[in-house]
Amino acid sequence: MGNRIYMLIFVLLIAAVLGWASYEMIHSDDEEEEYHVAVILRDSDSDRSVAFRQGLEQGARDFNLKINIISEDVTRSQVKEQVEKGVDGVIIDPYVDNNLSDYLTDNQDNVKFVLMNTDLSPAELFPLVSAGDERIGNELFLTVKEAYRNISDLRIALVCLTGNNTGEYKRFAAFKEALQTEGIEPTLEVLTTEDAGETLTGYLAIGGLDCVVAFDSKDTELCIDALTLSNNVGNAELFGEGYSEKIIYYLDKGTVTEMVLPNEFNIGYFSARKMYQLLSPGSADEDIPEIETFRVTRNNMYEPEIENIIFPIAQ
Amino acid sequence: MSIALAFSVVTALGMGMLGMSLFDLFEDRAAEEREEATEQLLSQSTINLENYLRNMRLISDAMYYSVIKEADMAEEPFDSQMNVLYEANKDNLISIACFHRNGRKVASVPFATMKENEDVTEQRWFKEAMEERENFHFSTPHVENIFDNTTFRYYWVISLSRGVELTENGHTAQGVLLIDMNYSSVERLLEKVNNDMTVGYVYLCDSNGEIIYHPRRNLINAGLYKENNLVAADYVDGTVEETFADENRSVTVKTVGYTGWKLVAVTPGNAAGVGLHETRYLVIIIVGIIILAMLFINSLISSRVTSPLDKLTRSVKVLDNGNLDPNIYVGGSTEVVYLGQTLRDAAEKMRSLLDDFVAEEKSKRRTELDALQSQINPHFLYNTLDSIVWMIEAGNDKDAVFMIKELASLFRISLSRGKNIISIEDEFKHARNYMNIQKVRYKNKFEVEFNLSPEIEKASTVKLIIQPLLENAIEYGVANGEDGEIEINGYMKDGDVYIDVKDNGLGMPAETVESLLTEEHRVSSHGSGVGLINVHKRLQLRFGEDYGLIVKSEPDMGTTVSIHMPYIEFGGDTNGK
Repeated sequence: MGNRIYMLIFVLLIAAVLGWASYEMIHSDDEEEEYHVAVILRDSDSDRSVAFRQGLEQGARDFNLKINIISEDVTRSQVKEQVEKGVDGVIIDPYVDNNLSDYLTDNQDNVKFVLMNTDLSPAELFPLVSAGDERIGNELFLTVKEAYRNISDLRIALVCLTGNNTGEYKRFAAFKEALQTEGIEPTLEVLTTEDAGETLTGYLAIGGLDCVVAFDSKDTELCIDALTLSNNVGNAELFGEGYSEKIIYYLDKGTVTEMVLPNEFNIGYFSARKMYQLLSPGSADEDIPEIETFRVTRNNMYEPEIENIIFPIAQ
Repeated sequence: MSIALAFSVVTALGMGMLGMSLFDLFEDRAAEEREEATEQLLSQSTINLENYLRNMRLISDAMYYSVIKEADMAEEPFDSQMNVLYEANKDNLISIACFHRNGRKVASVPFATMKENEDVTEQRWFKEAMEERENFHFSTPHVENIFDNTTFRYYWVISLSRGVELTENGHTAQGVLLIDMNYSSVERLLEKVNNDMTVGYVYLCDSNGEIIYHPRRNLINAGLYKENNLVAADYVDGTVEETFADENRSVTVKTVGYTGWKLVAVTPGNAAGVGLHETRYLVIIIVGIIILAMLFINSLISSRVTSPLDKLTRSVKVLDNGNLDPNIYVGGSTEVVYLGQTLRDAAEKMRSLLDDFVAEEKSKRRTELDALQSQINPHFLYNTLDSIVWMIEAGNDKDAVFMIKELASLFRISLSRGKNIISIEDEFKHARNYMNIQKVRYKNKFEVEFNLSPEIEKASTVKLIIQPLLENAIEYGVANGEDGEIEINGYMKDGDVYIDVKDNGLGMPAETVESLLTEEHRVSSHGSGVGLINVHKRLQLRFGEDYGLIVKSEPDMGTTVSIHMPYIEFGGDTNGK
């Protein structure tokens, strides 16, 4: 009887091994589950987005995500449309639609959301990948402050063409607050697109400004045009945030004095990584590291570390 | 079942080890093939890269030897020839330019304008070309940064520079020819290589380990990925195993001719198992199925072996329980059949032996009884006692006392405290007692002579074997005649003991002698004639068929009956042995 039991156990053991091996063999070709992720990105075709897209695509390759980039303003209807298509997650660039918050909160059990480049509510409810707009604003202020020995009499223009509730405005507000902390009021604030170029050009043409600060790529390009058109009589210096080939060209020519750039590649990469962590329950939940920023001047732009950041077109 | 289990466990272990060995062998072979494939891929890629770089050098040579050397800059600007060369190769080129040793641009295509205040003499490619004028110099990838490109486009290039001799107004001056190769050409070439890699990746670094191409270059630049490029730059061509970032990996290196660049293929240490998962599980399944099949076969074989043995064991148990007539199983394999048959034969022999033993015991008891009966022959006792009474009445007290003593001695030896074996000395004494009594009874009609060799005095004998011979000798030999003589001789011959009882009576014919000791004679005879057969049987029962009585007789020549038995020293308590 004892031997029969041992024999039965032995047979069951072999059968169990056979079952396990068969299951593993059948499923050995199964690829890791692929997640469908929509990325809603304002100005996805802009130069600035190149590095971000590279980071996103690298992350998608590393973490097996199928990325669909939608170049639209981030609105509730846009997000809803993607959710209804059955995506697993949505990565959202800065948005302006306040109605979106409730929708994201209501749907967070079904679809995962990762926010980028925003400090806006409900950022505390969702993973956020951002260099920090306030931080960039403060970094810009430090850049300006270090460029001038005495800033108390500095005639400074601030250019922020988009309205409230944007990252750009956050940067502007942080800069202005830091400026006012030093007891300085800006000479000029260009806050709307209406006659923005003409206004700025007028100031520059009469040498009425020592310094111009822009808070995103479009603002900076507008300032470049104004400086060029006005012949920059007062040799005003331009400081800005953002990236485009035009900005880099004029930085190279000396028109732009200094730029503060976040590491867009890392923003894209960590957005993808965070989305994967949300979608894949077994994966390690790593914290999103702080996104670094770089100060780029004409002199350091070809240094290898900076060169790789501002010329991401190599790959 | 236990045999099947043991066989199966051994089979499982054996098959498991065999499976593992085969898989290891297969895995090693796969790793070797993968390594060979990687080396081949790398060799082919190196050839492609070398061809590309050779083309760049050929362009540089063509520009230098066919254009620059042939022209005088002051008289004949060579922008147009340079442009022709550029247009012919612009898929792979970003720009061609020639500079005077002081940094002044001599000619350039397609960009005509240099950046303001650009001092090319500070560029690394310029310095290297001026320092080592005989060589080509390949830079690492960088963004072209000397021309003013109003389209805002910036290109990643690899600069190929060389020292050249310029002619201006008949004077020779040193200069530098720069060809900026489109980095994306190299990138595409190596991307294709990486796409062809099933496992791992390929990157390119210069002789200092500075990365020229890496599929994860952006991650490396962002600090999110690390590469062992500085160490790999010192590897010689071939494959080495290394541990980097806690990962074992196989690194295959191939040096690109002329540039000293190294094409490096990195294969993770666990790559040997990649693609072999199915094979691994297939081996496990095959081994498992074989084990199950062997289990089934083992059970069958075991059943065929053990089933007959079980039946045989049951038969033996029946035999062991005392049943000497069991139905012993004969079947199964040849060996088991043989065993069964042997056991059956043994049982039959045991039964036969037991029957023989029982019969022998019965026979022995009967002869012993006969002997006892002859010992206490009532006629002998009656006659002897009657003789004693007669002697007493006749006042012959002395003879009466003698008779009584002899009779007492005779019975004492006959009884021998129940022993069957006594010494020949006692047997002779018993015979003397008997003959002394008989001589009185027969009034000394015959003479008796006892001769006992001292060397057999202490030999053993079955008791009361001489008396029946003496009785016969008296009865049939000397009782009816005068001058009867009976001679008893005990001696040793050829190691055996012989006791001859010889009389000079009438003797017997040969046919009587021949039938004397047979069972037929027992049936047809009565009285003391039976005594001879009893003695003969007792001797044979005790000592074997080789021993017993030997009767020699002829009519009128008397009879000699010889007792033949082995010499066995008497130990005093050898009763029954």
